[in-house]
Amino acid sequence: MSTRRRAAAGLAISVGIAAGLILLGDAYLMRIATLGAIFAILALGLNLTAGHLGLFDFGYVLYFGIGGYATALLTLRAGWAWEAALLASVVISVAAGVVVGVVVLRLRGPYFVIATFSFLTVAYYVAINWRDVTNGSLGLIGLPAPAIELPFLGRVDGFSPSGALAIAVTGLLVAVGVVWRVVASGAGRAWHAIRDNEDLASSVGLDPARYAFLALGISAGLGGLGGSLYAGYVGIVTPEIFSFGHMVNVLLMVVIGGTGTFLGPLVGAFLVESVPELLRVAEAFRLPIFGIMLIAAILFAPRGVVSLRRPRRTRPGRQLGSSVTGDPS
Amino acid sequence: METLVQQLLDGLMIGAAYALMAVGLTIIFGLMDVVNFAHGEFYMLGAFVVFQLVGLQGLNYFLAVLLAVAAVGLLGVIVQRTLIRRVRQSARLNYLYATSIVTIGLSIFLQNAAQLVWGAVPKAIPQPFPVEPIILGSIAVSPVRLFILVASMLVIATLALWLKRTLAGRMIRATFQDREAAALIGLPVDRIDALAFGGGTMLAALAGVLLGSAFQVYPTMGGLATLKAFTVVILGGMGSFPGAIAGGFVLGVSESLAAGYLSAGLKDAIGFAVVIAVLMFRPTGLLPAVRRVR
Repeated sequence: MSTRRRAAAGLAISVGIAAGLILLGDAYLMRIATLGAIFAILALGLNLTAGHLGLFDFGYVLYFGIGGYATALLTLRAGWAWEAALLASVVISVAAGVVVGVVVLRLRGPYFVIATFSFLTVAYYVAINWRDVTNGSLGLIGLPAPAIELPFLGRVDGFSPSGALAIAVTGLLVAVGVVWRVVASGAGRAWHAIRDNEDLASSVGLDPARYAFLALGISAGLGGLGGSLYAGYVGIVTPEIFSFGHMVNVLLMVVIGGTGTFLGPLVGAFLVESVPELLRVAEAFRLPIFGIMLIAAILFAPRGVVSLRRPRRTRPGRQLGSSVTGDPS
Repeated sequence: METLVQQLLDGLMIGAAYALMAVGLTIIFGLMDVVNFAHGEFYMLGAFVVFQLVGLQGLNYFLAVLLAVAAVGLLGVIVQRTLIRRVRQSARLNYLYATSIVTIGLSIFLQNAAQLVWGAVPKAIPQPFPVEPIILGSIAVSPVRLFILVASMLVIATLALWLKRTLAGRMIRATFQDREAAALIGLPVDRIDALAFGGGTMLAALAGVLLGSAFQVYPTMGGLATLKAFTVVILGGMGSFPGAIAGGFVLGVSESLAAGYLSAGLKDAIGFAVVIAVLMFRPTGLLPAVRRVR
């Protein structure tokens, strides 16, 4: 099967599962699926920079938090409607991505890793200390639940578990569409070329800086979308939205699913959201197990679960800045 | 005036421990190109092992410090041998991405394992130092803080001397400058990696023991420590030893002054604001490394 057809099949299956869950009416399963859909948007966004371009943004949930705070402030303080706040949050996140990009995109390799990570941390402390705007560690409480018109479903209210799931899945479909379009376009091919060999790519006339800005902007926008949906779903935004715990979660989704693949982050997101629920019995050991899973995934299945069944091909030697997994698909 | 001197002294004490951590991080980064996200967890482990030995087993404090630093260093060597080396030898992995993820996974594991073993409640390390401050004119210095400053300076000076004078030190510096060339002339770069990772984690553990003696010991103390070490390293210029030492003192003193004159809440944010300013206007840091940037 081609990548496109596999992706389409995967999507159809996940939408089908979501619809099935609504029919089942199990609120607990729907909650897991809703969070899975929201975090899948983030995993897709992180995978754009880390997987497709080879820029390891270890502060990616910065945009998740910015989207969340923007939505909270616009609906609670400015009295905006949820839909308008969502769109504005995405725009604000893209703008933030460009501003951060001006600083971090001059840096390479480990410097980029540390700089993006520092931005996330600054945001965390700003959110805690800028009490006039963010209400400090207590956070902003009581966001209105989202409600939108959807084709076939009519007016969907985010207060009900099935409504929240429908809204999250809609957001995910939009994100999948965007990622699909750009990765299949000339920009996607340029990213892969830059990821695999930056010097060679610029020698044939590709401008790495321009394409890096594009990737960072889109991935920031997806982060903002995820953050806005998350804030609307949980109804509260605290500085914890900028915590490194979220970053680890999203990273785990991308790594477990398969960095640089199309379907991987989607599969990874739902796996990471659901497996810990199965581990509930071992509550105290949940996080240590997460740490071990992260190490095991990168060591034993570096191309993620979506490629486990394919035979390994031998690759030419590693070089810094080369593709994450050696697989340019 | 007295407050200013007092703040500066406090800043120097914390700065010395930051410098220790940052030198450890610089050794690991400069030699192996590993961004060690678990650095703070080795720092935390050092403090907890001393707490265990002194607080629960009743061992002599100074003996416990030596044992803890050695034990954490050994753990560092094991991590390099089992995890980092595996990543370096694998052609299917991007080295930077894979090592970052391995150290992130390690940091989550160690932090939560420590919480399971010792619990989340902050602990205090019993120390042999007198509680009464030493009074010099109008300034008061607590003996434990003086010990932190002196011990850090001594260790850094010894390390600098060791790197300069001994054969192992020369081998480390050669690998630091150019890994491929070092391997080409027959230096055992893999064993040098183990030495560097073990040594780097020992410095982190020592910093943890020292600051843990002055403040409190708890499982999540490493998170902020990792951040501080990154901050110092960016501030000083990545891969630069003098930069790491200077950066440690600059961060310690500026935090202490910020806490004294601005607000205690802003203390932790100030370092990161400085980092972003440095990255914008002087991305190579204050004292950039001469090493070729790869």
